[in-house]
Formats: sequence, C-alpha cells, structure tokens
Amino acid sequence: MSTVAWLRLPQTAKRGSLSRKEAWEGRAFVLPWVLGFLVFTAGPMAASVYFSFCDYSVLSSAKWVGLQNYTKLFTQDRLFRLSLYNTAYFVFLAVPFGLVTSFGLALLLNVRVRGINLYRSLYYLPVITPSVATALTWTLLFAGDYGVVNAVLRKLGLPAPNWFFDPKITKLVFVFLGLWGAGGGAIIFLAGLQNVPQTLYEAASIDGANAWDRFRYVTIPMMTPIIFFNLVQGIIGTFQVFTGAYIITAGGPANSTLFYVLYLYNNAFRFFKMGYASALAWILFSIILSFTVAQLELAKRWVYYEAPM
Amino acid sequence: MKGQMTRRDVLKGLGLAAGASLLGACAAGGTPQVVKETVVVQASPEVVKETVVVEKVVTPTPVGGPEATVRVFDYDPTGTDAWVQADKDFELYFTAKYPHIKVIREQAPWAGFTEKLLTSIAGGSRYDVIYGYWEWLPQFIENNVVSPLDDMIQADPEIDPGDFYDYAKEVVDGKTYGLAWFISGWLHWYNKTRVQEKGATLPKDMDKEGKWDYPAWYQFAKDFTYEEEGKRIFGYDMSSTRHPTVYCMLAWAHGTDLWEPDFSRCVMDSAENLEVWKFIQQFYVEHLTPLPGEGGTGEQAIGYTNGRVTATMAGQWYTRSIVQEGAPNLFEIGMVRFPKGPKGQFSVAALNSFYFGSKPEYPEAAWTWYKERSFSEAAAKIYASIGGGRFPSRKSVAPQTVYAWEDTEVYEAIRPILRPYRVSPKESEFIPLFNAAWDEMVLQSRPVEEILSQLATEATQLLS
Repeated sequence: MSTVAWLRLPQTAKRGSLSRKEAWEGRAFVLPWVLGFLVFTAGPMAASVYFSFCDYSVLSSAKWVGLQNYTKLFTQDRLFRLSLYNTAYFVFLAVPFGLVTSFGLALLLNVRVRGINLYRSLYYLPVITPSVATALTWTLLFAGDYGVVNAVLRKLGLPAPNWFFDPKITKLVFVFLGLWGAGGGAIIFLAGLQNVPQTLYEAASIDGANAWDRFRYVTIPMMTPIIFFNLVQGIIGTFQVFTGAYIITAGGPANSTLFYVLYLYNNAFRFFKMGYASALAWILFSIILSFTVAQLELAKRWVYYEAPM
Repeated sequence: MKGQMTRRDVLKGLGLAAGASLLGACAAGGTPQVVKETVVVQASPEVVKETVVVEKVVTPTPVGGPEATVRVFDYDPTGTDAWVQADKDFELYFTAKYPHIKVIREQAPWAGFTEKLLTSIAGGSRYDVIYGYWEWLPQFIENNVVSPLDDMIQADPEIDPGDFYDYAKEVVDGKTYGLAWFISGWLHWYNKTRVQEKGATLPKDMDKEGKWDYPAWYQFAKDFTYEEEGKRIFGYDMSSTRHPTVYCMLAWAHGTDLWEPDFSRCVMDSAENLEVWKFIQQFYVEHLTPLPGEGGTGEQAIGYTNGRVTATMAGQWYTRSIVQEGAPNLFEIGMVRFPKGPKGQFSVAALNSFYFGSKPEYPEAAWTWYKERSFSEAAAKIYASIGGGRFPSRKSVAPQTVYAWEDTEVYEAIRPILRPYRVSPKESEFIPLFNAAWDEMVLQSRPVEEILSQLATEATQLLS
C-alpha cells in the first residue's frame, strides 16, 4: 500500500465519523510495519544510494565523488565483470535445473501413497537447515581424495575430480548444491498441483487424452502462474548466491567462484570500500529489476490466469 | 493446623535461600587467588613421551590506582587449547595485580575478525586496545581506528625504544603503531626419523655446510615423495607460499621483492619473481606437494604431523600444533632455516602486535594492559606454551623454549636473518589478487609470465 494512498482519505460523498474512525484504526495497525519499513528498509536504501556516490569506508565520514565508483566499475574493474559472468553462469544453469527438479519433486509428492506426509517433510527439511552448516557438510562430502562422493565414484570406477579446485567444474558443483533447496519450490508447486481442478483431468480423459497429454495440456498451463512465481523468485535468489562460495571456496580457485555478492561483501567488509560496494549493490538491484520487469512482460504471453488480471 | 507449612512459609524459605545464594556468590567472587604453580605439560593426550615444567602464573603484588575500564577487542583462540588456557591465566594474573582496572574483553575468531571489528566500531563501540595483524594496519590507520604509541612510549620510563629489535616494531610514516608481543620466525620442519632411516643428510647439517639451497630443497622433496601402502607420501607442503607474507622469503632470497621500496609499483613481474614462481610450480606439476583440496580430515588428513608430508614450513607457533596432534610420538622433529637463495637467506618476522584505539578513555590504564600483555615477564611465561618467546621483541630478553625437541641452535641461526614483511597500503585488496594468481599458477591455466604481468599491473592500479 503506498504511503500516499495511506494518507489520502477514501473518496466518498460523505464520510461518517465511524468510517473515519475505522480508517484511522486501520492506519494505526499498519503504522508499526510502515515505521519498520522506513527505518530498516527504505531509509538504509536511501542512504545506500547516497553512499554509492561517495568514497565511504564506514569508519570515517563519506566524501562525495560523484560517478567515480560507477565509472571505475564499468571501465577498470576486471573482477566486477568476472563476478557478473560467474553469477550469470550460475543463474542460467541453476534456475532451470532448480525449476525442473522442484516441479518433478512436486509431481512425486502429489501422489497418494502411505507416508506421503513424511516424505513431504523430509524433502522440505533441507530448506530449513542453516546454510552455513549445509556448506560445511558439503565441504566434507566433496573433499579431495577422501570425501564420501569421491569414495563412491572410485568404487564405481568413475573419475573422482577435485571438486572445489577445478575452475571448470566448481561452478557446476554449486549449481548441483543449489538443488539441495529444491524442496522449497516443490512445496509451492505442490500447492499449485493440488489446486488444479480434477474436472479438467476428467474432461481430458473423456476426450481421449493420455497421461502425457493431460500433463502437457492441463497440468502445465494450469501451473504456469506457479512456474512464473518460482521463476521470478529463483532469478532473484540465485543472483544473490553467497554463502556456499564464502564458506567453501572464498571465491577461488582463481576467482572462478567469485560471485557478485561475494565480491560486494569483500569490498564492503574486507577492503573498507562501502561506497564502492553500495554502487555494486545498486547495479545488482538494477539487473534483477530488469529481469523481473522483462519476465512480467513476457508472462503475458505464456502465463494463464483463470481470473482476468 | 500445627505442623503444616503455609504458603507464606514456602515463600519465606525461598526468599531466604535466594538471599543466601546471592551472598554466597558474592563471597566466592572476591579477589581471585593467584598462586605460583608448576605444571606438567604432556606432549600428547595419549602417551606421555616427555614432560616439561613451566611456571604457569607468577604471584603479582597488587598495584593501586584510580579506577578505570579498559575495553579490548581480542582474538578468540577457541580450538587452540593452550592459547585458551593462557588467556584465562593472564586474566587471572592481571586482575590480581591491577584490581582497580576493569577489563572488558570482546573476542572474535580469525575468520571474519576485521568484519566484526569494523561493524562493531561503525555501530558505535569503542575499543582501547585491539588485537592486531599487520595486514590490516594500513587501513586501520587510514580510517583512524588506531593511534600511534609514540607518546605513551616516550612518557614511560620503563620502556626503552632502543631495546626493541627494528623488526619488532610496526612503523608507518615514522610513527610506531605496534610493538610485537609475538614474533614468528618462519622455518622448515621435517621428519628427522625418516631422513635418518634413509641415510640422507639432514637439512640442518646441509645448512651448516652452506649446501641448503633451492636445488637441495627441490631434491629433498623429490627424494621423500613416494608411495607407501597405496598412499602417497609427499616430500614437502608448499601450500603456505599462497600467502604473500610467506612467499616474500623466497623472493628476497632471489634478490627481489613484491613492491618497489616506495610502493610505487608492484614488481611481481620481475625476472626473479618469475624464477621463484616456476620453482614453486615444479612441486605441483610433479606432485611433490599435496594439491589444493587433496586429503580430508581426521585419518584422511595429509599433513606433517601425521607423517603424510615429510617437511613443511611454518612459524614456531607450529609447536602447539605439533604437540596437540601428538607428532613427537611418531617421529623426531627436525628444524632448519629457509634455504639460501642466489641473493641470500631470509626468514620473515611475522608480527602480532596489539594496537591502541584512536581515543582510549583511560589511556594510562590501557597502556598498562598493553604493556603487561605484550612485554611482562608473567605474560612471557604464560604465553610460552603457544609458541611465544622464541624470538623476543626486545634485546634485553633472553629467548625461551618449552619443549625439549625444539632446536635452539636453529632459532639462534634464524635470528640474524629475520626481516619484517613490508605491508602495502592496500594489502587487504592485494592478498586476494595474489591468491588468485597463485591458484592459476598451480592450475597451469596460463603461462606464469602472463599471470605475473597481470598481477603486477592490477596490484599497481590499487595504489593509483
């Protein structure tokens, strides 16, 4: 609800004291959230915009430098371009893989079998596991010669690569590790699957549709809003990949896992360049916003909403 | 009814009990009792191979003064048992000696230390004394996080600036910001038992004869890399060269450095640095050293202390890992200086100093804590078990060792070749560039010349 709308009284011919009172009560209930938003979100965002045009180390006052941070990013900073490439690589692999995995998982969890509630809980558990603990566990599982994964691969006579020290595969490992959280998307897909009217499946069956036809012509179209939601959320989330790279590889080897937010973090907290990091943050915001707006526009062509939008 | 307990009785009883507990706690929390004790330090938890006797804490005479509070941002050594115990012992000692000074200590582990300190200060916290690490000093100075010690040193008759070795001082632009309480002199540690069993010359003996040079280092690694029961035993662990503060010793030995003397340019693309990087690369190409990511934890670990690596390099702080992991039970510990290069033989003096905060509320009390923690005889004894004292920061202080297997001859031989690392003004940004270039060198992703040329260019740009 915009602040302006919140301030403006509803436009009716006459406002009784009761409705006026109710309006103020509504505002009072919303006020804590609004204050919190202003203090903890909007305010810091505004400050961050200002700092992005400053040389600011946090420990001393900000000095206005105009567009210097942005100019340097686009003309001199190789690691900025590299971190964008690394992140884009991750996003364009992790999002489709994640969607397919989540959707497949949801289809499996939509089956009425004994213990299905237990399975649903088990697949959702990784989502609520602390990400640092998960990253540390993955470090041990994929560790060099004696990680569990490589031990199994050797038993099967397969190559056992150095997972976290081969630039050709390290990003792929992170894509794979991202599937660990597929349960989150699966739960949302599951909710969508359970809302697909059974009458549509029945009608399709009567018309001679087989299982694949029902999936393709009923399930998928009815699920497009959910797919769209998970797609947008996935893009927003994967562009901010950080924890795994921070814990496991610290951006290495040879900066192959220097993702954008990790580079932003390094500038802010290791190099004492909060102004530069703020500029990085706003560029990331712009990129994610552009992708989201583009998806919203493209959605008109492929997302089916039963109710008119 | 008579004999029955009422609600009032229960409440009265609870109140009395709570009051008695409170009084008891207050009584127990009186002046800490500090006694002189002699303790036995075991070489390993399982088998006592040797015992050493150290004076753990000395009995201080309480010193009076106006009440003051000192806030310290310190390193959290959880995981290093000897250091955790040493901190406890020092706190006990200091509180007994200076009961009028209240010390409030916040701690942070190494990983994320600067981030936590930075955010604490940005959030309004103030610290009088800060645990230091030379990599951070230039930016701390630039951002007024720390202040020079010169005024305190000059005003203190107990401190003789001339008594400090030059390499023990952290000086920037003529001002002293740190006086090292712990100096690490880097050296090589090798499996003496294995070398003797093979009938080879000990590196220490080679060093005495002037034959411990870079070709001898490489040959040692080759001779002691082999397969044993399906596992590879590595000649050397070269992973420490990934850090510029270790790499610098190899550069100096070849007559070069990482930067020009005035930091106007990064000289990593010099012919000498190229030669050194190709030397290091050899170890990885021929698999004489564990590859990054090779090995695991516990039984799968590949390291010096479990015999999977014949030799490694570290400062004398490594003694605490050697003891903690029980290496003296497996083999005899050998020590030797870094090899002699074409242009000399060097060991880096890696400094750990405390820094003074920018505006201490009670500067005299803060300086008292600083001095006691850094230079007192008590602190030297207390922190001896973590590797301190082998390279004292002052000429008037005799070096000390703790374990019988420590080779004092080697420490003596290292002292004259100690040299401090020169911290660049943008060291925290230079290190990741160096690390990334080192990774590329090990991965052989590009010619070393290209890697070093890019590193030199980008590092120089940091300072422009």
